[in-house]
Amino acid sequence: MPQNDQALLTRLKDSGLDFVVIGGVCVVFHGAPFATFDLDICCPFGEENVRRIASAVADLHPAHRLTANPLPLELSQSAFVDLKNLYLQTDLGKLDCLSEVAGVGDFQERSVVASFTYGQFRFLDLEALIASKRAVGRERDLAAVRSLLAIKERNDQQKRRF
Amino acid sequence: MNVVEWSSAGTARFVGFWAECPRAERRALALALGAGANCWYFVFVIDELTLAQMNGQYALPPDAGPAWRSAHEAGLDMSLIEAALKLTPEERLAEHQRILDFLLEVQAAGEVHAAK
Repeated sequence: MPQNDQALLTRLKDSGLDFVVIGGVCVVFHGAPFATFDLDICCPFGEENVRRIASAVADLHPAHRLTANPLPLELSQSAFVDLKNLYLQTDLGKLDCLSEVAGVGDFQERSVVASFTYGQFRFLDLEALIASKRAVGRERDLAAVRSLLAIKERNDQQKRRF
Repeated sequence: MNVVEWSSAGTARFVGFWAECPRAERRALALALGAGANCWYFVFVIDELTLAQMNGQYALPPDAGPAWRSAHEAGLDMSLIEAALKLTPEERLAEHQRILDFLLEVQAAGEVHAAK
């Protein structure tokens, strides 16, 4: 199954969703060598946003990937109240949409905008990313924290020089 | 000084030797290239640190702070981080995508192999 993060990001942006990239792709963004097999984003889970997510992947056979049997993504009225996260398998790869980031309060406030040739996207800032990885606390997250702390230290050193 | 190699080719002479490097107090490999009485020389001094790096050992940069050292001591390959930091964020994500494509290909090949 392919994993095309660029295409997923572009689709989400084109849907009008205001989101922040978190997780492993955000770790890569900040400069840590890290392989991740899904795209994690965070956004408020109101009805409008959930519909935007659904529309972004509508033609990609989206299915809930953590259910015992992959259930197709179908939005009922109750889904907008009950859903806090969406873990999706799509034709362009895995897309995890979360409504909050562990260890981080206002994730939109604690994000940075990055410009790419294919658009502008928000990523969790380095300190918030470190906090989130610490909060999750799995072994691989803590390894990422070590890398991110070293990168932060290096960034701070460079800022002091200039 | 321990001469480890000596050879001549035409008027050029090549010599490699181990020498004590008095300033750094480190063993160093020096290579000298000469060309007779009116000779010219290139001298390359490869110190112990460089030799270690050539053998795959990561050398902490002199300005490495405690977090950088701690990550290195924990076994992280800091040379990969240094390489990534030289890229723009867009280049990092593109590189990650290339690696991901390759890993998924390897994974698929592994599954085919396991099914046989």
